Amino acid sequence: MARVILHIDMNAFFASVEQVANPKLRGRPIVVVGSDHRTVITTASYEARAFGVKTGMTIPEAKKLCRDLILVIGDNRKYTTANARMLDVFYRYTPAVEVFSIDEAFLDVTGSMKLFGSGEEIARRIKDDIKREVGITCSVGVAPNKLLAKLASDMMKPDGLTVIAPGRVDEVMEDLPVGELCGIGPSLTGTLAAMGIKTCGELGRSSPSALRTRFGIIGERLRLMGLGVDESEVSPVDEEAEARSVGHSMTLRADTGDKEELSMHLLHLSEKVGRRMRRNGYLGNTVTLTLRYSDFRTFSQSMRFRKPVNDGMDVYLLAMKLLTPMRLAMKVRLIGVSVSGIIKDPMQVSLFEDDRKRAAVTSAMDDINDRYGEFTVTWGSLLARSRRKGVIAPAWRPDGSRRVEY
Amino acid sequence: MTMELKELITVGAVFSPGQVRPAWFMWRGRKYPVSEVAYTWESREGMARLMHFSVVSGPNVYAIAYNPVGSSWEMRGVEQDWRG
Repeated sequence: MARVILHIDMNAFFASVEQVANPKLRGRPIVVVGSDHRTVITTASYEARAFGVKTGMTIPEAKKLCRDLILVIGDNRKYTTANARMLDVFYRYTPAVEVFSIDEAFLDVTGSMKLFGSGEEIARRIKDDIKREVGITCSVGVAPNKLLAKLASDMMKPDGLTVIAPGRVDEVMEDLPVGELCGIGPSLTGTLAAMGIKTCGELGRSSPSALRTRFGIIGERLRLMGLGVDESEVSPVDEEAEARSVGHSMTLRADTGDKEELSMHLLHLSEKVGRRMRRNGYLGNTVTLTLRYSDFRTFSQSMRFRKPVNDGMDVYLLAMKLLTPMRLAMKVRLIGVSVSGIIKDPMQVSLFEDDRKRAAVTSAMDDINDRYGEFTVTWGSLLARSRRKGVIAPAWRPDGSRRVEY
Repeated sequence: MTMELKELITVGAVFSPGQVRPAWFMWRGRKYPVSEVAYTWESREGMARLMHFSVVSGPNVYAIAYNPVGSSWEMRGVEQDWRG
């Protein structure tokens, strides 16, 4: 039996939620931005998109296109709540739900059709439920696999419903530009074009050996994508792989070359990384410091610990070892820290008293912060730092290590 | 423009199974009837799970929050003068 997969994509998700939450914003060109006006646009409403405003633009770029543009500082708690309501709707129809990002999900409804009707009928019900219960619209693609379902949901926005039936796959793929497929970005599109491959039809008919020679093991996967073949399963949240790294970053209020200020932000980010690692029972052995200059050039440097850690202070001290000797070429716009080389914490008690005391202090701080809120107890040097709302990461998930409380 | 606040307020609300719906609130000595609950969302502050409401009263939109620990309500933000 052919699988029936739905891809559900919320339309201009953050902007739509803000328009629901604030009636004054409905029907008006708005963009959702980070905690200050220096971050790039996270989402533009469809009214703003009509002026050419797009995700990733800077505010001045967007203002040039739309003088009456309204900037809304994002509130991630509104979006995670909306996401939870969306998931409640999805689980009514199938347990096979894969959260692809905060505003996208794949559903395998193959086993649900006897109860709820065809894939298209289920898609209509889900669209209605989300409109009624969350207040926003979504575009849904219905197809025999995830690749085609995602392609289908992109075909009609906003508020679309597109079905690619198994018998129509060849017809859909024949003239479709390869860049329309999820996973084929501009660089790969350029490389394929240089090989004379511009459409999915051409990709599907390409010589497997030529693709393998040029792209290695993904060559055959690319050819199958050109044919509209994708065997990947819908992976429910609880089957997701463990995190490979845990990190946080922030765009600064103003560009700075002051290492003391950067050090304060680094301590704050390191503490957040440590908290998330301990909450998920992780240790990590490599710290990566990422800086973005004011001209948007971005670079990272890494260093390894002698033993895996999950204490924010350890993360900070190693990150400072990277930052201190750096000669900054210009002022810094964004700073980030992450820990990789993740393993599960075996909860081994240290033989050394100093380590045990420090672990006890960290545990006590965690208990207090769990009870009264993040950073209720923290380092004195962070007291001057005001609370700021962060921009939600694309990798955010409703559960597991990618879940971050805002 | 949104004005961010954190002031304790008195709220008249209807509590039904699984649902809380503010009907009016007292803020700075004045009573405001709620004509629309536009959106609700949740957040955590330590152990407390706060319920946030975006409510419309007259020409303004207000963000109020209910903390079940201690049964307190707060005014969190006001968006004023948006009509016209």
